[in-house]
Amino acid sequence: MRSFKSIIDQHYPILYKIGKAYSEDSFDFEDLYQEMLIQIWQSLKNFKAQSKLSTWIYKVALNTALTYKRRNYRKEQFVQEEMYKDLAEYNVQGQEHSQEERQIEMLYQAIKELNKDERAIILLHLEGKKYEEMAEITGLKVSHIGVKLLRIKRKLLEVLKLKGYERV
Amino acid sequence: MKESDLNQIWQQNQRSATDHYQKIAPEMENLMHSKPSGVLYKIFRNLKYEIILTIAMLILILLVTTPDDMLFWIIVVGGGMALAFYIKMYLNLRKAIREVNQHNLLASLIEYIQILSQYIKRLKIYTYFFTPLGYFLGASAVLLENINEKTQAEIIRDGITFLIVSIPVLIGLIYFTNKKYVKWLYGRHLEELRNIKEQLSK
Repeated sequence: MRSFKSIIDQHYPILYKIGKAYSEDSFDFEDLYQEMLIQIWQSLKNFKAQSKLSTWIYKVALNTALTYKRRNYRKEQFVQEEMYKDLAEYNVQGQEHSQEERQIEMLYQAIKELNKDERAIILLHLEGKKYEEMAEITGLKVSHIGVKLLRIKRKLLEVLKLKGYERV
Repeated sequence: MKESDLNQIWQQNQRSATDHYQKIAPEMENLMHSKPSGVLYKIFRNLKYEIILTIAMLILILLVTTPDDMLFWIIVVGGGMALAFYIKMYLNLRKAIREVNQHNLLASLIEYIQILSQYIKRLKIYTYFFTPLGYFLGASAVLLENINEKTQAEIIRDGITFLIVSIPVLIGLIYFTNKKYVKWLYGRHLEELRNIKEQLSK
């Protein structure tokens, strides 16, 4: 538990950003965040140190997000509402505050307009990952990453323009 | 709006992530010991229940038949094969679940799709083949039980009644379980995963 905690202490921003980019609302976000934590916890004993720990965490977390199936909230929302009440309130407050937070929220909204595969690539790029590491995480060729990334960046900037980013 | 602006905004994420983490950190142990809700885990749990149910049914049926009956040996061989098939699938799935998320995204999606497709295929075989077969075998056994006491006209009448009642029931059952239930449970998800894989490798 202690080692797991220390790993998450170092890598929690990855989970947060992936969770935000792949969830539809705050309940969905908490659900996905928890699922990523469980997957990392359960897979940790199989980590073979063939790649960097952060690369491995990106793989597990992104795989979880890509294959994540949204729950049926009509049935489960009531139960979850109490459980996530504080966190949901926290998220709503976060959306209402500073311009900095509004900018981040706008960027996430634009990212959510992208396809799921595109979200993975733009996240890795924004995180400052090199093409080689992005290729290792996604399984695509380095040259392919370059072409896709160019297309995705154009699309993202276009979405931001359409959403009126300048007005934020 | 430039790309450098995006990077600058992205860097501001850190504070929100930290605030959120501070909120959940005390609950970490509870969170990670919760049951995973992924689709593969649901299939895994379903398989476990199916194995238990199959064993229970086998024991029950074998208790009411005797080794002298042909039926006894049909159940032993058929049930044993079904059980072996379930257990093999269960073990394969357990191994796959442990590793699937650690592959690269493309490889993981391919494996995930493969597991889900196999499971749906198996459900379809059960729906299209075993459900009607079991239904007709069960009904035939009931009809044939008192065959010696019936006239030919009564046998034909019972047979026709059985077909009139059972065919709509069977079609409804197959339609519901396959077209609706399976698609609702896994079909749409599988389709979405296939699209993601297509788009990723495009």
